[in-house]
Amino acid sequence: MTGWMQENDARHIPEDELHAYLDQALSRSQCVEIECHLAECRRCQIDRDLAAAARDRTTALLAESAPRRIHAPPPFATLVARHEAQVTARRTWIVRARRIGLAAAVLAAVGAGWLSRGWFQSGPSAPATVAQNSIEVPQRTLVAAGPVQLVVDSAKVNPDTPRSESLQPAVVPAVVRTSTRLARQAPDAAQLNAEVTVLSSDEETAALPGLWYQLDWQQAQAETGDNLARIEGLPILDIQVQRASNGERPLVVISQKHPSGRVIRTVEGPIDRVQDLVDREAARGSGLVKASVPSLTQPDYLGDGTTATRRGLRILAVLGAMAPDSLNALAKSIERRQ
Amino acid sequence: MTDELERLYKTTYTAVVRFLYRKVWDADRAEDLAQEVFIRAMAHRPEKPRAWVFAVAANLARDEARAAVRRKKHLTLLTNDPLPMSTPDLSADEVMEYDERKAGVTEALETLSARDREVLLLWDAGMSYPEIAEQTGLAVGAIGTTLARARKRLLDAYDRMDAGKRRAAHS
Ligand SMILES: [Zn+2]
Repeated sequence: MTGWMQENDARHIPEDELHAYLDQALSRSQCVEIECHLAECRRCQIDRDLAAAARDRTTALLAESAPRRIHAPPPFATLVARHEAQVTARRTWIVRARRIGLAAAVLAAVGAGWLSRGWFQSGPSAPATVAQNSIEVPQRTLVAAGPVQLVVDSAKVNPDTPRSESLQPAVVPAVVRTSTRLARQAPDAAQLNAEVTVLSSDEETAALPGLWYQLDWQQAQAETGDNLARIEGLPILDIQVQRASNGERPLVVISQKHPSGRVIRTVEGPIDRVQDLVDREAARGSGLVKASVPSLTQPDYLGDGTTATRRGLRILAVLGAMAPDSLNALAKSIERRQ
Repeated sequence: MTDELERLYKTTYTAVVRFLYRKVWDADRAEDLAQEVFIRAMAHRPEKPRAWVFAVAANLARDEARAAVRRKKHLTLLTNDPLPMSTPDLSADEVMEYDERKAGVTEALETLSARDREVLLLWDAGMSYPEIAEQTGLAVGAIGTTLARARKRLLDAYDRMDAGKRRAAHS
């Protein structure tokens, strides 16, 4: 081993080896060597006792920092079922994506965009954007089946704009109609004056788990590991993130303003969750919003430089009130960038 | 494979939750993440499931912590943290004392370098030196050094804060 007994000036057992010895991380022969020395060296005995005390106290302190109570783990069969459900969802989607052609699909809308109707009608939440100096976008409809919370991004609220807290409904019983306006500004200066995120009820989150958060660019980058799929060169109107309940990659919807005045949304995230969103819209069949052919993007990796864990396939679709060809082209430009 | 994973789940679930808890500081979240780790293990069928489980847990926690910091700044209206778990077997005083000690340990842990803390928590979760080395990229021979330093620093930081509090209480 290290030869600590042979050198004249370092004839005692180094501290790290005492720790390794106490942690039973040394080979049998190393242990014998250490034990022989310990038997004869008072100083190393003291060091060993100090190391052992530090080790024991650390363990005790760490025990203090454990959660006060951990629930009994769910039966393993429950996890197996959850795993199988995920696999099924993923497989369905891959088959679908291949059938469509894997390049890019779209639920696209004629008219004022997917914002206008439907997308979130029974969905988990919707961003309501309000701004002045704006062009009017046809109404959007939010239907809430249960309690709704409002979140206001105070950093972005214009003092002149009525405060959104005043909207706070404990329960929205039926249909809320909100006139939605989007900022008409220079492409790179588009900014929302006020933003309201409606959080969904429990019932709805069960269908599509998680809450939608409205984030700014930096926050969204942090949330997604600096890998936000969006169309280069178009001003960003808002970013909605739905965090996964399980720590997987979040579902991100980035709204951007096309030069035509349309709102383009890039949806990107885990394959089954994007599928879920697109399916909801397709099932609604309002025909307003169209989507590009969903395209698989590179699986991404979570890592710290030394290790990396594959987080699986991602997929993106571009949605908007434009011809499918245009949306496909936009989706392709994102793919190339990545 | 599933049998092996099931055995691992039964023997290490709690350790994984504890490991995650010290990174996300939210018991429910730690449990969710721990379950997710095992679900992922079913899909990946790793060769060394135990090491794999902790590696993925560490990654999820890192992602989670980053997101949590941002979220905290952002969602000021959503900060109603879940109520502290009720512990019928502890008196109010005991709960307070427990919380204080725990806060001390938490704070002390935060003073360690990320690497020292990681090694310490992995060790505490029951991983061996070679497993810790593989996960952190350190040489096996460096684990003892790192642990010795981490333990010493944790205790020093804890004692320093404890002494500071006692001084404050007496003055
Ligand atoms: Zn000695």
